[in-house]
Amino acid sequence: MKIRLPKETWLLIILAIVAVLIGIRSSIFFSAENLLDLIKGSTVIGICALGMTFVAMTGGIDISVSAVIAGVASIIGNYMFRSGNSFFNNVIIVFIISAISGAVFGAINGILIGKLKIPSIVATLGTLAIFKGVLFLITKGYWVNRADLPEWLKSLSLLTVFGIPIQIVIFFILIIICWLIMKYTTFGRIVYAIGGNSVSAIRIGINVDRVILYVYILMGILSGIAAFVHTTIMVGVDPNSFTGFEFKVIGAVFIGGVAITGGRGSVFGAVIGVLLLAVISNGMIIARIPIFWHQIVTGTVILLAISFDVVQRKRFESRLTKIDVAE
Amino acid sequence: MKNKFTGFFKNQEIVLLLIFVVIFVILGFLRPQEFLGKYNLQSMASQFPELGIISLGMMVVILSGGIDLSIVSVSTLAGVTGAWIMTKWGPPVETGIEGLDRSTGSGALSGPVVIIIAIVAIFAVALICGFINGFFIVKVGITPILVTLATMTLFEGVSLYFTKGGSIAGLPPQFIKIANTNILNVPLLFIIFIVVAIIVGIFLERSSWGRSIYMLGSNPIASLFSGINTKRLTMSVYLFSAAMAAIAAIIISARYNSAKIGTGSSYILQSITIVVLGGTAISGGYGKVTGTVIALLIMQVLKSGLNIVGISQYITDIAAGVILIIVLISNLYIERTRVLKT
Repeated sequence: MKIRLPKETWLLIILAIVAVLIGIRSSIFFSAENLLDLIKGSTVIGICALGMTFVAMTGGIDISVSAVIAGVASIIGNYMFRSGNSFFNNVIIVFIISAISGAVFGAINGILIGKLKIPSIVATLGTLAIFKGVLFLITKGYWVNRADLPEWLKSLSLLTVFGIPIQIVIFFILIIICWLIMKYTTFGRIVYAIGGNSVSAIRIGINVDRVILYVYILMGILSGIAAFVHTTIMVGVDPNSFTGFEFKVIGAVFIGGVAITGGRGSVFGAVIGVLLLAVISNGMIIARIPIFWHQIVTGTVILLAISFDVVQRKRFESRLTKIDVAE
Repeated sequence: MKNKFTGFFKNQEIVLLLIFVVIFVILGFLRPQEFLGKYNLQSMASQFPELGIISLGMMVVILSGGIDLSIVSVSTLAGVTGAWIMTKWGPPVETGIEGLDRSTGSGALSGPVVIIIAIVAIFAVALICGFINGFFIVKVGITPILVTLATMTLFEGVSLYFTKGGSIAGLPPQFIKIANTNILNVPLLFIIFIVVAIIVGIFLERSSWGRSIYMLGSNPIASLFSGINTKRLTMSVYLFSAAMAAIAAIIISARYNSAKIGTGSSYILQSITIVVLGGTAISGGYGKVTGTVIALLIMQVLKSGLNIVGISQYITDIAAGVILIIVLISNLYIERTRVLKT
C-alpha cells in the first residue's frame, strides 16, 4: 500500500519522529529554551536556503554564498565600526546596506549566469574565489570585535517578540514572503517554468536571462540579510567562519526536495530540510554522541533522505504513461 | 588572413599554452634567480602532482557528465587509513614533536611490508568509497552532485572518527622517501604524475572505455541505445576517480609525513577550476588531458610565482577566479562565432 502524500508532509513526519525520539532520550530537548536556540541557530542557513531554493528551482546552484555572506558581514561590520556613534549607524541603514551589498554580489552572479550563459557551477565557483580573495585582501582576516560594535546591535541581538528571538521572527517573515512570491506572483511561476523546461519558457516569451538575473539578485539580497542576522547573533564578524557553509545550505535545500534539475520544490521543503538537519545536530549533542559521529550521521541522513525522495519519485513516474524516450 | 589568425586561437589548448608561457616568462623575467632556480623548479614540480592527479580524476568524471565532490574526502580517508596502519603496526618512528613519540608503532611488521599493506589498504578503502558513490548514482539514481555532496560529508566524518581531529604522524622513512627522491634531478612525484597523465590520456583517446565516456558525456540516452552499458561505465568512472584519489593520498601522506583532515580542502574547487580551465565542458563530452595539464601548470606557476614576487596569496585566488571567468567567456564567444560560420 503506497501512501501518496506530498513530499513536504513526509518530511514533516520524519522531522516529528526524529524530534520525538530525541525528546524521549533527553528531556532537555523539548524545553522552550532549547527549541528556540535550535531554531535561532538555523536562521542564517535557513535564510540562505530560501534564496537557494529559487536558484535551484531554475536548475542552477550558487556555491559563492559563503563568500557573499562573509563579504556582506565584513562590510556592515566595518561600517558599524567606522561610523561609531553617528546617526547613520542604526538598524535600518545597516539592514538596507546588507540587502543592497548582497544584491550587488548577486547581480554579478546573475549577469555571468543569465546574460553570459556561463554554467552556474562554474560561474559561482569563479565568483567564490574572486569574492573571497577580495574580501581577505581588504580585511586581512581581521575580526570586528564586540567592543567595536554599536550598542543598538547588542540590544538587538537580545530582542525578543513575545519571547521569540527577533532573528526567528525575521526568518519567519522572510519565509512567508518567499512563499508568497513563489506561489502567487508571476515571477514565481516563471521561475518554476524556467526550471521545468527553459527552452519552452523562452518560446512562451519569457525573458529567461532577465529572470535568472533577478533570481540571483534575490539570492544575494537574502544572503545579505542572512549576514545581517548572523551579525546580530554573533555580535562580531569573523570572515573566516563561513568556510564550508555553501555545502550546508545546499544539503539542506536538497533534502527539502528541490530537484537539482529545477522546476520542482517548495520553500517549505527547504525550511523543513534546514530544521531537520538542525534537529539532528542538536539531538546528537544532547544525546552526548561523540562529536566525530556527527558528520557521519549528517552525511548518511542527507544520502538517505535524497535516496528516499528519488526512489519514490521514480516509482511514481514509472506509473505514468510514457510518450518520450527515457531510462 | 583573418581566418588563419582566428583559426589559430580556435584551439583552446593553444590559448592556454600561450597563457602559461606568458606567465612563466614574465615571472622568469621578474625574478630569474629564484623562479628559474633549480630549487624552485623542483619544489613546484613536487607540489602539483597531488592536485594534478585529483584533477585528472575529476576530469574523467566530468567528461562522463557527472561530478565528484567527494574525491578529496576519499583521498583523505584513504590516506588516514594508510597512515593509521603504518603507525599502528610499522616500525616506531620519532616524530620530532615534543611529547609525541610515535613509538606506538608496535614494530610488528617491518618497514617495506607495512608500507605495502598500507598501500593496498589505501586503494581498497578508496575503491570502496568509489563504489558507494557509484552505487547511489547508478543503482538508486540520484544525481552525482547530491550523492557526492553527501558522501563528501560522510567520508570526512569517518576520517574524523579515526583522527579525532588531530593528525596521524610518524610514517616509516622508506615511505617518506617517495616524496623526496629525485631521479636525475627530477622529483619522483613529478615523474609519477607524468606517467599517470600519459596513461590516462592514452586510455581516454584510444581505448573503447575512453571513447564511451566521451559519448556518455555528450549524450547519455544515445549512448544507452548504442549498446553501451551505461550503468557499468558510470560505476567505472567513479571507481576511477577513487583510484586517482588513492594515488593522491599516497603522495600527500608521503609529502606531509602525516595524514589529517583539511590538507586537501581547497583542492575540490581548485581541481574543478583546473578541469574547466583546461577546456573540459562542465556538462561533459568534451575535454583533453593536455588542456587539463596545461591549466594545472598555469595554476601552479601562478601560485609559486606570485608567492615569490611577494604578492599576497589572496590575489592569486582572485587571479584564478578571474582567469577562469575570462576563459569561459572567451570560450562561449569562440563557440558562438564557430556556430555562426557553419
